[in-house]
Amino acid sequence: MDESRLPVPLARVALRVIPESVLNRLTYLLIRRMQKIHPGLFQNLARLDAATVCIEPSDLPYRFVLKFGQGPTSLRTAPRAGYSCDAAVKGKLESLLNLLEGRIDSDMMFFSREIIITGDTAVVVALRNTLDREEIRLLDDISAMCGPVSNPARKVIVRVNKFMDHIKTSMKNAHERRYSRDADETAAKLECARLQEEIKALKFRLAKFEVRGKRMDASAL
Amino acid sequence: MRSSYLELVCPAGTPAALHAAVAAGADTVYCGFRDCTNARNYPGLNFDMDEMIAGVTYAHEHGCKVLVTINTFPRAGQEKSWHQAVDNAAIAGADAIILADIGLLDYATRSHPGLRRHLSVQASAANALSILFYREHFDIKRVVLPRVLSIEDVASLIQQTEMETEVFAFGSVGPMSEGRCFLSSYMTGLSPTHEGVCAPASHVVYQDDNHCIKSCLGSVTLNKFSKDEPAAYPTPCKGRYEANGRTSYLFEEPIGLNAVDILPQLKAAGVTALKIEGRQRSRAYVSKVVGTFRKALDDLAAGTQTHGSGDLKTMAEGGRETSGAYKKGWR
Amino acid sequence: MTENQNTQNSPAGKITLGPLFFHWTAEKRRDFYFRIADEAAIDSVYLGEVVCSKREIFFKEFLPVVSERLQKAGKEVIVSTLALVTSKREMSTVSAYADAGFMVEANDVASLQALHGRPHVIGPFINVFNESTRDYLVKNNATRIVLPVEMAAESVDRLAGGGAATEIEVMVFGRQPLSVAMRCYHARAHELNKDSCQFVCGLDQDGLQTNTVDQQPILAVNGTQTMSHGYVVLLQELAKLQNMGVSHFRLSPQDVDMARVSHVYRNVLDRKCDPAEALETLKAVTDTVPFINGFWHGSEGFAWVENRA
Repeated sequence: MDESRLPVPLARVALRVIPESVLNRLTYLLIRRMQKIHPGLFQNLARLDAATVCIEPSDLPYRFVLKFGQGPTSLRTAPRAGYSCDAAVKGKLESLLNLLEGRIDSDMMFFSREIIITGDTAVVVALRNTLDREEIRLLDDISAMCGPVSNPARKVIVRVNKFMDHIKTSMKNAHERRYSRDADETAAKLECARLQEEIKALKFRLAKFEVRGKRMDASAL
Repeated sequence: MRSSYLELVCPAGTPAALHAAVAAGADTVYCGFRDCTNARNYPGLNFDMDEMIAGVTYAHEHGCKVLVTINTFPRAGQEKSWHQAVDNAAIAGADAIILADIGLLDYATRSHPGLRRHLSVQASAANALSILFYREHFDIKRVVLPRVLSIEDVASLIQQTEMETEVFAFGSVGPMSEGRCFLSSYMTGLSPTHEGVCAPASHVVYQDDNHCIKSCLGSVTLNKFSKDEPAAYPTPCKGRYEANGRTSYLFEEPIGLNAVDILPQLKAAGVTALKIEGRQRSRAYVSKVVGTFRKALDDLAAGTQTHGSGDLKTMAEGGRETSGAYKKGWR
Repeated sequence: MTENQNTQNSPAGKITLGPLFFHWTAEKRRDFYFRIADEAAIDSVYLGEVVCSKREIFFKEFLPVVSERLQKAGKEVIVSTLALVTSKREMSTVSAYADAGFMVEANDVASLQALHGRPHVIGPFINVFNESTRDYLVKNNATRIVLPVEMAAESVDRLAGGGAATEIEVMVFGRQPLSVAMRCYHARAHELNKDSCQFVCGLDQDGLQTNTVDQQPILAVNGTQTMSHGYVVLLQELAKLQNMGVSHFRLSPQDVDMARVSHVYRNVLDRKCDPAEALETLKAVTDTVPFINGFWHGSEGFAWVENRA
């Protein structure tokens, strides 16, 4: 398993308990740190048209506003109501983080509706493409921000990750054991495919009759 | 040697994607400049001149070729930018350029006779006569075949022309003859043939409409779908329409093209190269799809069984796959 | 209006009848072209199947008699070829026309190869978007170029003017062809496919109306071809087109009184009728189908832009 990944459950818990003012201070520091590590990314962001994007993790009490283009980039929490952005990206925190780090293809999440985009699609596309030009490892950036305690913190995080992965795998295995009906499923799938073929053939024949009927109507006129 | 080896041609929308493609086992990558001279002119995508030079250098150091795509049609009075792109590709050290416009092919042939020319899918050369025309007039070395042909058609074309061919192996199912489809400009006023963008994001709007999502291109409603229904790209040919009293995906379903299961047939047909589409996709997509095809091609070369396409399904448009026009009955 | 002045200075221009895109019965086609020969104000007629090679056999027997009648009536006859050539059979059809000595409208680059540099017309399905492409094709013996339907006024101005060594034709009436495909959408709309199509495209003599899911009529399907729902009508723009150097004005056959349509356009080209008045006359001929001119004005193709001239 990938050890340099930010443990999402931990992040989720942390983000839920950290007061908003502290959170804003942290995001400010994070952006500043990232500017040092990824100068190219911020140059590219500055090349874009000015825009604000609301990032809405569906499993968090906060929304974030990312401002970029034609000036400095900023990230802060959004006021609860009455704030309008050019576009919004909604999804689980994990999906959004995977997206940021380029682990997962955003079009795929879009096809499967894991993330939902509203507002000015062009803004989101520009942001996505610009982020994807850069290798971002959020965990590295965050631990770099922690200074001297970064190494011990990293070790804890890696251990948490391993633990979470272990739990996930055993739950998955248990689930599969409990519901292993592979044999039945194959038979059912085959039956389904056969029926679909049959329906298709019937529809096809019906269509031919319909056309014949239409033609007779037309010539009767 | 070449005839028994299928070359894997991979998309690089950004320098990061180029690195990912090289790492995943691409034989060749293709990319474009950051302007309307290529058919994937999306915001934030593509290469400026410095990035192009660095990209070509990096690829060459790793034994990988670079094709530069200049496959839109220059607008009257503005041909200079397209000529510049051809010149820049030559300066950057590209191994070939991919072109579609007759005037631009003529320019490249006269100005850079030594730079290999490939015929883009946008030129829609779907028969032997057309291919011979482009070869006789512009000495093209390879043709990218339109996605409207069956495997039998492809084999017959190769036999008739003895031309190097590149065919689409993964990406979109393009139901229309490419380079000659004006549906997107009909709905938005922006032309893919000149601007290099079909269904420009600036004109795409998703509306959350009570348990249902509505996708619009400009003022035209393309589709309404429930929240758990798979989505397609918001292009006019992937919308739902009502005709003859029925509402359906009249042109094409939300489905992606995947030819991984028919690689042996493509090889037998005499295809030179396989093209993975997706310069607009992320580097995660590039790694995954290129990696899968690399393995499948290596298995094919070694004579071992290819393991199905199961793992690419999530990457495909609409989360579903087809072998498209390659198999008869599609049309 | 400075009517007299205009009449003296402006080039009049020729009216052409583009190839019939729809699948009419052979008899209907024959009668249609006979009427064109006898009554229409049309100088050139393009005959031939552009959309689907499966339809080709139906009209073949009438082709000689129709072209003879048209030529006797003093009209130039040009043979239009398929827009998307894929099979060997289709290639031999294209080659046969090229070798038979007809004046051919090439709609696929395949025709250009078959013509071996003999004089020909470039149809709207071959992309000619800029000066270099135009000049290259002229060098290859294109005597007339029909510009792509997508082209805006500014580009037409550049291609028609500036010493174009060729005649330039622009489509000014009818449903605009927007795409060609291998797949038959008409068959799909009837849950059939191209190989077993039952020629359902013949059921819709003017194209199959296609609506968005919000019930907005937007496209017309005609076999493998997709067209605009509205008729493009460049009547108010004719004078500008003439001044740019456009020499030929194409009317695309629809299931309406095309002879009358031709007279409406002739009168405006000859400055015998005011465009606004002509527009009203045309509306009476075309019934409920909306008019469009968006591409010409650089906006959405399906839009209607009022002329500010």
